[in-house]
Amino acid sequence: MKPISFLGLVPIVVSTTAISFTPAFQTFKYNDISENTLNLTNPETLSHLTTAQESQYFGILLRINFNKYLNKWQTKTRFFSSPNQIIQDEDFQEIIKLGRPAIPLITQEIQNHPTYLVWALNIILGFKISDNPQITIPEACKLWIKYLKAN
Amino acid sequence: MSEDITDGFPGLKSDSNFKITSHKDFKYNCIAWAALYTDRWIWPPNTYELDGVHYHWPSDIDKGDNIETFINLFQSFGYTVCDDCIMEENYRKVALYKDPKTGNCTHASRQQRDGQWTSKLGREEDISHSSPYEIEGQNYGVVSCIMKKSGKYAHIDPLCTF
Repeated sequence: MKPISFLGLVPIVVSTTAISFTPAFQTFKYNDISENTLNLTNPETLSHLTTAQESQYFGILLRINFNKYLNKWQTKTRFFSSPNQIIQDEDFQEIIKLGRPAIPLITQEIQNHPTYLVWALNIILGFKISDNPQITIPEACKLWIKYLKAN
Repeated sequence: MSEDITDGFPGLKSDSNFKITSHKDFKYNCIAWAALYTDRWIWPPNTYELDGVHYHWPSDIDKGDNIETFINLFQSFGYTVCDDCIMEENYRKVALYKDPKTGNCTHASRQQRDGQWTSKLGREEDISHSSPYEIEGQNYGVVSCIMKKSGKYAHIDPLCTF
């Protein structure tokens, strides 16, 4: 009879996220969360996360809120030409309020899609990445990514 | 893509002359496009210093988003207020839009030599449309003012010097 070997077992990795959920919470479903986008499809899960203690789920909540504000802001302002209108939008202001913890999310977003979102870095960090008046938004996004990776 | 745009501007759905005429470009905005520039944003300087935006604004024009400010701007370019958007020989016309609630300028479009109108839609593409009125609505409010500029080359070259 062939002996059972531990090396032959396939471990099941549930999650790499260091979050403990209370046994009393029955509605959370891991399958609701896409690790890339964290778009939640189950309203019960979303409701739980948005009402839970922030310290417990801070990273997840941050990304959920960031994605929510970003999507709404982009939809509302895509045809706007006024920088004032674009940055005074309430959802953009919510992104600003997320503050420095949101910087990795902003960086990731402008790396994939260089847009006016780079202005959130101007406002949160309080400076321009370049004084070159000819710099374009995609170029500014690249400079910000390079700067933030180095600092 | 064009469906996305017509969702934002329902008036374009029945406009047979509506078409997308460029790729997306962040380098210029609608006011610059109306004034025949594609290398700058024309808007009053913001409180914040923002990357990727080279604000151009004449020093003798008040800063603000209200429509009168933008009428003054185009007057400084040599435009005068006119009655309608009908094509006139040797004239270039622009339309300025405002949010009726705030009175702030929201957009500008420009008449082309073939009589069609062209707009730069925010961070999106340039489009052509039959008249200034197809893009009225939720995003740009209403046409507030039509202005025209005379000159043999009015349709050809930018004459702004700021």
